[in-house]
Amino acid sequence: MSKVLIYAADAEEAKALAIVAAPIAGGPPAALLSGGALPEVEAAALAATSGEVGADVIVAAASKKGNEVAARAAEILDAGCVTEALSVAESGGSLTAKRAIYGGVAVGEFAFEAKPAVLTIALSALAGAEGDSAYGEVSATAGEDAGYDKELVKSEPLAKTVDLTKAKRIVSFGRGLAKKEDIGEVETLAKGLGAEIGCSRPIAEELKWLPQEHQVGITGAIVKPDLYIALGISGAIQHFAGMKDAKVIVAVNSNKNAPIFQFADYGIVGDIYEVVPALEQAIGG
Amino acid sequence: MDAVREFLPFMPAGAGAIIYPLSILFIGCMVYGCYWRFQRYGVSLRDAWNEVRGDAKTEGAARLGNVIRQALLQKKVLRRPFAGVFHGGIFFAMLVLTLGTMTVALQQDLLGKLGLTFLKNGVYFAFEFALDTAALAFIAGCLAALGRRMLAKPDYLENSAESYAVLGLLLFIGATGLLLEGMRLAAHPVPWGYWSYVGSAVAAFIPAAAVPAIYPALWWTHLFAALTMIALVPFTKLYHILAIPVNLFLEPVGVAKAKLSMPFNLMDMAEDEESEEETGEEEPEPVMGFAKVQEIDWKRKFAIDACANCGRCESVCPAHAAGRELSPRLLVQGLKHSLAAGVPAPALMKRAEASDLILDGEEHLGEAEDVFAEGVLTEEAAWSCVNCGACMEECPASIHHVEYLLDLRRHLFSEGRVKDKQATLLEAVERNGNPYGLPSYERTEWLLDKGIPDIEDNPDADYIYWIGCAGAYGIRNQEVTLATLRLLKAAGINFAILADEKCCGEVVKRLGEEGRFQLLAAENVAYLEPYADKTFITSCPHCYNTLKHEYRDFGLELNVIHHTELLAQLLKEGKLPLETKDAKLAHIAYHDPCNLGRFNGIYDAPRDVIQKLPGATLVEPEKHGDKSFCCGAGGGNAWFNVEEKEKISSIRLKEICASAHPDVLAVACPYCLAMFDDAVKTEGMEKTLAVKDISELLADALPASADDGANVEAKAAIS
Amino acid sequence: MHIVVCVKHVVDSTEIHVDKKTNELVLRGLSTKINDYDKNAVEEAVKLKKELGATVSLVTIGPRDAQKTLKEALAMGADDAYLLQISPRQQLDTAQASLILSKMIEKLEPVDLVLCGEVSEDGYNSQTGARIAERLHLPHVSYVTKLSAQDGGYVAESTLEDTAETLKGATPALLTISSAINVPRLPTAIQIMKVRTSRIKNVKLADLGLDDSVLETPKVKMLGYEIPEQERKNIMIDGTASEAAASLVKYLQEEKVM
Repeated sequence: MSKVLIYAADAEEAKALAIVAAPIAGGPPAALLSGGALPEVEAAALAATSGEVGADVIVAAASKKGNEVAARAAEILDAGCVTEALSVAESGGSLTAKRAIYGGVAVGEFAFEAKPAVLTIALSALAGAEGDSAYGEVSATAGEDAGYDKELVKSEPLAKTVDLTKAKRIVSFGRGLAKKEDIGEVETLAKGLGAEIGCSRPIAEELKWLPQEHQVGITGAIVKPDLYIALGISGAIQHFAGMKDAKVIVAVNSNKNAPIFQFADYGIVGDIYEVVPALEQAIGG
Repeated sequence: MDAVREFLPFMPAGAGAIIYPLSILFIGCMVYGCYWRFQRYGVSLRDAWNEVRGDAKTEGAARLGNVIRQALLQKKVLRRPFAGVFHGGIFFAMLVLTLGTMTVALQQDLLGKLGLTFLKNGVYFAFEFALDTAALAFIAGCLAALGRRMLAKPDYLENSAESYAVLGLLLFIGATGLLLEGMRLAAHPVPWGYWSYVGSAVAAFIPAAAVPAIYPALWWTHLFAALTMIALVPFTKLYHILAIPVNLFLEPVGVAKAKLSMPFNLMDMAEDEESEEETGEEEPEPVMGFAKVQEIDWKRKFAIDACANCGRCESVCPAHAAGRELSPRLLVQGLKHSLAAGVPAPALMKRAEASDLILDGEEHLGEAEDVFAEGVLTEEAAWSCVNCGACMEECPASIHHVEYLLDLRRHLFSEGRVKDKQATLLEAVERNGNPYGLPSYERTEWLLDKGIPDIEDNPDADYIYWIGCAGAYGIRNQEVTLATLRLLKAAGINFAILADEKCCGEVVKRLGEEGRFQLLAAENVAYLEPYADKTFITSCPHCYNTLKHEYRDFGLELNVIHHTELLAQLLKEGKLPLETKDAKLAHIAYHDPCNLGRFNGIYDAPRDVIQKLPGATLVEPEKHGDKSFCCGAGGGNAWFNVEEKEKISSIRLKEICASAHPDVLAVACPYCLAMFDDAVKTEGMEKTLAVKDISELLADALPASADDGANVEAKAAIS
Repeated sequence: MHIVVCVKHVVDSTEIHVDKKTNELVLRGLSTKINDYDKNAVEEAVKLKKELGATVSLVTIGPRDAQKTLKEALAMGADDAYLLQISPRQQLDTAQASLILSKMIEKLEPVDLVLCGEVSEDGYNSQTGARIAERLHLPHVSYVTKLSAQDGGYVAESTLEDTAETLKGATPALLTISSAINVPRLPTAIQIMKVRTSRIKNVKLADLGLDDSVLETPKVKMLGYEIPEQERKNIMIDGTASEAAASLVKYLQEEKVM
């Protein structure tokens, strides 16, 4: 068991991190909530606090900010750091973490050679985590002030229409849809299911029928919904990489040889213009 | 008494003699003009002459044959029936009239003085008849040409003061000549006057009494007009009279039609680099295309200068028809004016507000850094070319528009002025061996899993089936691959595929990144060398072209056939029995792919296959054979977008449907298949028109028992 | 202005796959290339070079093959390159890489800006930039989507998950460059070939005041990997559209996703 210090943006994140860290923490971990300062300052505080509480392991979320702060803190502590971990464990006195490698082709297991160790947990591993989420908040120990000449001029929320990475259900379409006007059909189905709308790359990038945020795939959103319905999507690898972790995958395509059927739990070979209205009926009824 | 030609009536003595010094003067002017024009080509007369002599030694006879076919027999000019006929009229008439005049001079001033008269009686009558017919043809031709310019006004034909002036002058010469004959016959009628039937008709309207007074004036006018025309040849569009026949001779005969140039050899450069490292001296950078027309070799400058602005290239250009920024005519004309920098350019290509490209007068030629800055064309125009070769097929002057555009692309690449999608495409080919960017290990895995033999499994194969990137990765194209393999198996062909097949590199070469193409080609050549004794079958005309012609530059001569050629042969030999009962009747139109048809002359084999399909009737679209209208995918255009008003594939699809009314559109190229599949969707024709490769149509006609167990999935995939 | 760009030589990630027969990752014999994300950083540096007359240096740790990566970056417009050669089989964790790269950058001082790619295609760690910044005591901005710089300072826009930030500060500083910032130029094969290998300076650990022990003491080691089983039910639903729809709805209700 290790002494765990959580670094979280807020209480909700701290709870999720506590759950994921449970296998290695001997009891509720300590948690330092972000002070909202620049990452250099946060990292210095994190490193100092870690020393103060005698932590063996620092666990943060693998958000962009989380990674930055964790990496700088690791450097201050001369510690090893593993980002985007899916799970942590302790075996034979060694702290190990699993993370996707080579774009998700495999899952590697990494061991820390020494302590302290720094970890960031992949956001997809934090979402929907269930378990013991208790933690003990600690206040920050001020770190060394390096006196960097850097300031945040402004911070604005990004205007986004949808965040597919948080969606629980997604209805996605591809080139099987003939006209932009037909998106209305897909929208009706999505509404009936309480789902968000996604699309393949040609729809967003070439045809520009939907803004980029709706694009699912290696160059778009990587999603992990409970239900992913792919309409008229052939199933190129790049698209698959974006939705392969969905709990249930349904594919509808007129081509029985479309690769997407290999990746689907349920497949219907048919004309989406017939199947989609039929589905709406079946759901409504 | 002999019937002979009356020579120079009403003219003072000595008039006949003066023709010679005058002619020498005006012809001298013409020669000087040609020399002045020649200065543009940046080569000395001696060097040019030596080169031409060298060419003549190797293939002079063949080239001369080309000159005779194209120039004398007007073969390409006749591709346009109306214009072809009237230009033929003008051309032959001019030839005949010139020879006729020379014959009269020969008779009068040489043979006559020696006491030999051949131009008399029967010979003379035939002579008069021929000349009168020529005059008629000449005048009719000029009138037709003028009428076309003034009334029909085709948009690819540029009208300028010069075009009217030249035609006017020609018409004037013809008319005055005819008038002179009429006047002569009116004043001095002869019993055999009816042989000069046109002149006689004209004579009926001329008062004989007026002739002696008017004749000399008209005669001098006619003489000076004719001599002026000769002198003006190198200074006007008439230059094409001399330039085109010469350019036709400069055209190499032994080179494959679609063969692209190889501007440098990377292998030589690799050696340079090693020596550079040792000596520390820099070898000069290889030339990447050209920035300004002054940089290209003299033969190509000559070709550009021979352009007569006929506009035929523009009239058949699919990019232009789609409203893209490209006009092959304005490209060559722009280069021509750029070449003559110093001569005020009347017009340059520019994208206008209105739908058509207009000519915009700007005079900053010569100072700008490249042809793009000069305004000859836009970068978008350079990428807009689909490399279909329709322009070159039409061009009577034998100008190679596509090659200039390729060189301009090479120049753009060397400056990094490329579209994002093109960079991505090249990286994909370089890293993954295909333009899609899909992993290389997926290329042949799916076929090997189906039990298709690799060359290692079947080293004694007679044939190698070259799948191509589309056939390997494209979902729709994979069905064509399976259909073709099914046919090969059914016919008992001993074949294998290459497990480590990689992109042939055609799109890299045509985009203009010659370096990357050569690296890729060299790798492929090394891989394919051991199999050079086998016959390569390919379903992709672009691969066909590249493997067969371009790889020769690297020392590899492959025997390559297209699958339709093989299938036609197999059908002929009875090796593919077809199921005839329950055959569905269908009108099948065949779209000639540019790379198979125009580039390689393969038109019949695919049609032979279609005509043997049970229930099939072959219908021809209006634009077929070497007049086929591109699907729009060539020159890399399948992989990026350019500004356009309409999709080339839609234009072609509508034309095929309107002229042939097919149920099925048969294709023989994976690009065409993808383009038309898309166009059918865009035009909402999914229910009325099926687009299929010839392999698929033939495989569908195989009897059920023709496939062996291993290919059951293959059959299922196509049905 | 002097800009240093950290460039990584990686295995082509699109080509990494599982050998179906052995169920092992195929990592050998794959093509190698420049980390595409670093190309964005090089491109940004070359843009600043054109704008401000800056000089651009490249630093890399890699096998001898990394020369081709550096040649490509030099052909894009960088001025000089430094390579610390390691054996192709040598693994380095982020702590080791950051240490060595930091020392290499120190040797090139004065340095106004250090640019890094946002992530590497093979490791996907997203740490090295921030670690180098800390070791060199530099402020850093990550995921820079827009950059303007002049002698003495910079203004950078950074895009996080839900917010867009604008930061400004004084140089020297380290910036990790987002791939959304630009489209890197593509030098032609000829231009890359023409870059003389002698332009790449070899650096030894001893030059940096380090010895081989640095290579032998990682803080994180990979023990092994597993290929996740792709278990999908692959149930094909037959019938007419309405029949299939009804069946599907039943299945989804059973799966509790509806």
